[in-house]
Amino acid sequence: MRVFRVVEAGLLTTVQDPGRPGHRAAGVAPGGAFDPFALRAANRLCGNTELAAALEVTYRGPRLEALTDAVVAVCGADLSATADGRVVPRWRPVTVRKGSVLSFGARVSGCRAYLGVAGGLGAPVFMRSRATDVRCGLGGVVLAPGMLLETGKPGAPKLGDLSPRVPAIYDPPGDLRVIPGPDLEAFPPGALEALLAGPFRVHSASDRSGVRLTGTAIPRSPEDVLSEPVASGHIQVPPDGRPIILGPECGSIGGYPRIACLIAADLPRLAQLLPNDPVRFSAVDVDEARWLDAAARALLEARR
Amino acid sequence: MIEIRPAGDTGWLVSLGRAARPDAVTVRRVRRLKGRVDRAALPGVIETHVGYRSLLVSYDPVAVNPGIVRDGLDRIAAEEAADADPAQGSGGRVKRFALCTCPACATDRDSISRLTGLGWDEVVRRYCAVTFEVWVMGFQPGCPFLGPVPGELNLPRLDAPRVRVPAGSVGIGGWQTGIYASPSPSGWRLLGRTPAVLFDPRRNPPNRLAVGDRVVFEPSADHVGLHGGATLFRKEVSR
Repeated sequence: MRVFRVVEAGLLTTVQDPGRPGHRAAGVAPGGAFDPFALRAANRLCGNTELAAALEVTYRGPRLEALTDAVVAVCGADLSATADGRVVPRWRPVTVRKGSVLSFGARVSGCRAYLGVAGGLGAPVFMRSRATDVRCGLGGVVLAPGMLLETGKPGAPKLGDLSPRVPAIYDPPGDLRVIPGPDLEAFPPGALEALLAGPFRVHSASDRSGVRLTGTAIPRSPEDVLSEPVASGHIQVPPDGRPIILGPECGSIGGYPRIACLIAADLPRLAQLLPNDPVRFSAVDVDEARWLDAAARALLEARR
Repeated sequence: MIEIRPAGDTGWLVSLGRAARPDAVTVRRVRRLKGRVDRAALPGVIETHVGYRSLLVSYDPVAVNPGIVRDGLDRIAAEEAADADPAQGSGGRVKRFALCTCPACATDRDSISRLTGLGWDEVVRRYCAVTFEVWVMGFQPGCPFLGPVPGELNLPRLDAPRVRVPAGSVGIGGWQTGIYASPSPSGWRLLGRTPAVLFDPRRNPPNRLAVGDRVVFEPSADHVGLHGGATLFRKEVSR
């Protein structure tokens, strides 16, 4: 069923689902939504499975004309979503009427918003996923004016209003928790302490492949450039000492040693950072990281 | 010695040391270790992926307690450590790739000759005499990292990486050599270009090469096949 016509595409609006894990041996990144929590929430709120595809809206959003009545949910960044000029509240299901225009305006907080649509969005499937690999041009769709977006059969929404409960996931923004390693011995003494002391800011050359930081330079031992397997959240330190936090479209191997890895529960915070935003790191252990991840997922299990 | 370290809360990195130079013995042991982990089918494990000297075992931290994955890996690592046999190469069929080494494709031929002290023909002869093995896959879809690089062809990376090199570029960076499957920035020194298509999303699997495959380059200097010209490489191009 055709649900939206794209009037304006926005800066970078893509179809994303949880991605395509399991293909690193072919060199294919898992990819998928940069903020997996917001994607899951958007899908659950409009009655979809967690595997459904939604729109990832980056900073400056699109204008979409509704071709039918549709239940949608906007999660993640506050990019001033409106329907025919009326505010579309985030983190709850909202019905958009046929003929109205759903648009995004000024950015209030965060970087990436997710628009879930009841029934899930259609897009070309590659390796069993509709996620758009922007870097490699595989799967999914990058929105362009005039495109028609389609959905499958809607299910019944099972969640009500999440907005009172989600801030804990994102606040304070830029506070990122990490697990030290696995390449600590490639660094001189004091390197981990330098990471945890900071300060850092997000560099403008950041995208879905990785978030680059400026500010403190991490001391590094000389050249050590053999490629090792990497994944999103791994924090690489190139020779100039400026850390790079890998994103969902990072290559499957990388040549820089990893001083620490972002915990899975804080990928949403990483996804919401804009250039020049401050970043601070603190260290946790695997058990705490796992508890935080389970707590975030439990938020989406609650019934209304 | 095999060490197991956390790679965040979604992976364990099983490390076989920090050798500065990749070697066939370690690479094949990592590959054998991957085979052991894959066969064990540990609950919650999403995938295993090899590097030159380590194996990343990714798991779903909500589906499984990381400690349970770790226990399984400890057991498998002990098996691998106790295995006195050298890990073998795959011994499969050699895949042959045409390599155009004309001046337009071998962008760095002058600096490569200067750094090695070898005439250009001799550089090409030595590179094409090697039966390479795919040691690592990644960076981009379909990209193989090959080894071993002959000692005299270990070349320093460019001081300033190029913004873009064409698909099929074949280069050397230190002890690493390989083929760019699609256009990319690169700091490697380029010694030629192959018309082979290494990644085609319409095929299953899309990647032409996999870890363990053997590769030989066949030199040519007449550019055919790369610009819609003659047919020498048709077998590679038209799949």
